[in-house]
Amino acid sequence: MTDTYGDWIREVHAALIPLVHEGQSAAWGPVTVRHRTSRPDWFGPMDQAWARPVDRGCDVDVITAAIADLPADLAPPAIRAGDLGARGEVPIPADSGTRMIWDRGGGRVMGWEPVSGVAVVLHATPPDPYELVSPLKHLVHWVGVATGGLLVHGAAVGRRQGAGVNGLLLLGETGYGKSTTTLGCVERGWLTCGDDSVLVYRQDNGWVASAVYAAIKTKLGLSTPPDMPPSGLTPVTWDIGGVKRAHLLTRTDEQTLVDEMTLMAAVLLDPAPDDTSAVSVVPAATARTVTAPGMVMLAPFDRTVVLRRFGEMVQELPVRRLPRRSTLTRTVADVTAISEAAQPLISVIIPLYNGAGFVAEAIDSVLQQTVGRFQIVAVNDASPDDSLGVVNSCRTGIEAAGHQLVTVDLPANVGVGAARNAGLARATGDYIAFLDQDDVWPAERTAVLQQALRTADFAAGRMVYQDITPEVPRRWLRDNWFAAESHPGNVLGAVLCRRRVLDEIGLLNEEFRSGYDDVDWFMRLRVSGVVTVAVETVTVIRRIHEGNQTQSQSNSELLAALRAHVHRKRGV
Amino acid sequence: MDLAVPREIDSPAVIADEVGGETLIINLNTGTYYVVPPAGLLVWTAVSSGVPAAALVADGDAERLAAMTDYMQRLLAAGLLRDATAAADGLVEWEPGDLLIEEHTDMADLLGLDPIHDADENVGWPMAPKE
Repeated sequence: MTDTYGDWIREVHAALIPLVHEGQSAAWGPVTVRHRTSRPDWFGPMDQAWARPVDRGCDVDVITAAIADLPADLAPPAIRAGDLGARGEVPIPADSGTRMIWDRGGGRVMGWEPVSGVAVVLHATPPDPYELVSPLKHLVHWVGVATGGLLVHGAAVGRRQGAGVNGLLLLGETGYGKSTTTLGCVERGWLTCGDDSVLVYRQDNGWVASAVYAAIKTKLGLSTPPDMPPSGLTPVTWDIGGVKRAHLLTRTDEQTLVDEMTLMAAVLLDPAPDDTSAVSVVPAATARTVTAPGMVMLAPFDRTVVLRRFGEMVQELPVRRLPRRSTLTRTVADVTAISEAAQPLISVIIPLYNGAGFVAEAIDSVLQQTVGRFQIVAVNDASPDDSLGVVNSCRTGIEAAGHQLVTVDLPANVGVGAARNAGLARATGDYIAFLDQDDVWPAERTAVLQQALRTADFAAGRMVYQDITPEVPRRWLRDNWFAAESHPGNVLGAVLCRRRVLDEIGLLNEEFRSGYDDVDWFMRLRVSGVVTVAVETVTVIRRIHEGNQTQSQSNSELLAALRAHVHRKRGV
Repeated sequence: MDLAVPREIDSPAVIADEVGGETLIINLNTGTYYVVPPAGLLVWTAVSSGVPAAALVADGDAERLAAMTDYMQRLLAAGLLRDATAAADGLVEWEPGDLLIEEHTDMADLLGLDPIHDADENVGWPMAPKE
């Protein structure tokens, strides 16, 4: 394979090394960059325009320089204007990954040779501040595409939920209100993962936005011009034509600009003023037609790949049309509603009885989930201790993380099965999960189970036992609990299911007061037609302590549950 | 195998319960469960409560000896019984056809790990309220 331009990029890169100064090694999001320059007075500020690295294995060794710095024998190859693409694309052989544009009019050359991982950016004249950002978009685009990504002309806003950030991709052509909406959200405590350009990747069957930078533009000339809210970031600010002010957020701080967020939906900003129409569903085919190419970053090269990936994204993400509202408050309210509707509510039923010493950790493990919007339904089964008080002390943290807390205080002790049913009666989630007061969930469990539910109505992972009072001898401990790394998760705590599964299987049998209500329920599930899926990930950690015991009463319940199963098998 | 050895249910790994003459037995170590139909109740009750199997077979009855030997081998292989320290007395009328025991494994993964659900009244989930 002859790769004339790749060879040239490598030669230029090598020839410039004696002339360069070390820049600040940083990253444009996933594109980790080593930057060196022969003209720190021209390109030095570019180091400020890079976000924190996110390792996706994309290392690029970039040298920036003036074209005049090139040795005479390494001048850009002579290319006839007619051989260049519309945006200066040089004629790269189809089997080469090299990318290069030569902007003859603008006096700019930019090239990337992926095999050796080197890139060069050459300018005839000093770049203006915005040019410190825009030319490298191409490099980010090329590397992003090569690593499975997609650079989108849009913004991403979201809110922290547990250990992750769930967000929306705002799409719209220039002037449609992406920055205004982003700013409105940021002012109200939301986070952004980029404005103007967002790198989007498929990840775990979902889509994530990866920050490159955020260039939030505010309008000048208003009586009360919106401005960036205070943050730990120091935006690079400049005015554009006396009309707009650009605030370039260049470093992720996890307070305003975050590295990544999980995309729950895309919002198509409609510039037509309309205060009365509701947010509407945009079919994927329409989204593809309307948004592409105006809202996709169709940088030079890879247009087919980019459009295909964009089509996949709007096929898989819900897309909603949001008309231009008369107030930003109204717009943000609509964005909030879209965000919440895009994330199905998961009701987590936690029965309480003498769980004051454990339940806070159980709830915290819900809040640490990487995805999910939760409604925690805690049912106090007339516990003599302050279990419910402990739960209520968690309310602020639960609600601050965007989740809900519902408490049920039963007047008399009814047993765990009836307590779970009382919780189910208050649950409004699209999905149902259970968590015992003394157990905890691994942080990834909801993400894994939600993914599994794409093809089923019921998903269960595996469970592990964790002895938290090993110093206390307990006759009922079983060696086989600890002999294996994990066990099939045949307990409610390992499960995530759609609400309709409860409708089909029925509630828990309240006659089982000691805890075998779930074994009975699982047995009923086995003989039902519910589509189930088992995942190999641990989805609950069963914490064993001196309090949990298996006693003769439990044995009789287990036998009763099994007898009911035998009768069902016989058709009795 | 010595039929003269008294044996008992290998609890707590094995639990059993009889309702209406039918006995359910679960080996919690394996998750396998067994159904002893009413006809087999008396023999199961005897051999699992210390009555030596040999005591249930008359001397010289080769057919019954073979049937009882086979039955006891199945119970021991299933891990349901262990040697008892003391023998009990008992006399049961039975026919070889009575020595039935059904084995089921369809719930093995559910039953094989005795779940921790409950706790005593002071430190965890309550048992059934005392009358």
